[in-house]
Amino acid sequence: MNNMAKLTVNCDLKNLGVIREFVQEHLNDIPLTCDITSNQIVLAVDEACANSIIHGNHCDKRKELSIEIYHDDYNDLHINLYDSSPPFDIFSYQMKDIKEKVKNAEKGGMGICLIQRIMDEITIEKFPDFCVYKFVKHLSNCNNK
Amino acid sequence: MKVELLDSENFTTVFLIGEIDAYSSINIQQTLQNLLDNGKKNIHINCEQLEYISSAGLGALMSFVEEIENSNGTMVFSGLKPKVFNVFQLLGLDQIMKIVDNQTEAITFFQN
Repeated sequence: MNNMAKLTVNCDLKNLGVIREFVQEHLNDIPLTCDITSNQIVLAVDEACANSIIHGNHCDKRKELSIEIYHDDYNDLHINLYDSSPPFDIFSYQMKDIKEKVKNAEKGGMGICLIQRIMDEITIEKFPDFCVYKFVKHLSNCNNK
Repeated sequence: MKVELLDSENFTTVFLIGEIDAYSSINIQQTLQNLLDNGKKNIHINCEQLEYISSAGLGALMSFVEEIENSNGTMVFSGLKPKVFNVFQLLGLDQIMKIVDNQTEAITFFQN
């Protein structure tokens, strides 16, 4: 386990920029992370946090989210999101056809799809008072920075 | 995040500057709604200075595509950085949206 870092913020959408900066700073220390993959990882964390802030915590600024990030000796990046709101079933969500969404002017429902397409592993650990969304991204195939 | 507008003869350019997320995407929505309310139906989204966009920002943009096309207008994107274009690709939006390489191509598109 290398360079573990943790950030805790209030459930305020204004903090999404702080969260992205935190993730990007960690990625800057990993030499094999390419620009597109780096942006994808930042995006997936942003989407997970936005979903939690809006749908799980209803933008209640008294509540908090914690994001933990580290990479291991196998060049896997681990991101854990600690959330006290009821767990969202990230696995079973299926996005409608994108053409239908555009035709029907539907704005939502793409964030979870992005997380599914970007992250290599997703697990949810449920505890009585909180849950942990665990994301893993394999970085070994990316070297075009 | 900043939004700037430039009116041309038969289209309006919307310059997206900075980062667009779930917090700032409301700015795009209000801007595009105002343009449509004022009869602007040809819209060029200039992304040369767009560093980041999340699904909320894309959702705000794509929610106007159908309305614009129904009024015989077009929304054209230009100047996407590779990392921003990749987000379009992840969702399949690169197959649906009209995307050109740069501002010159966008201007040519609307002039023709």
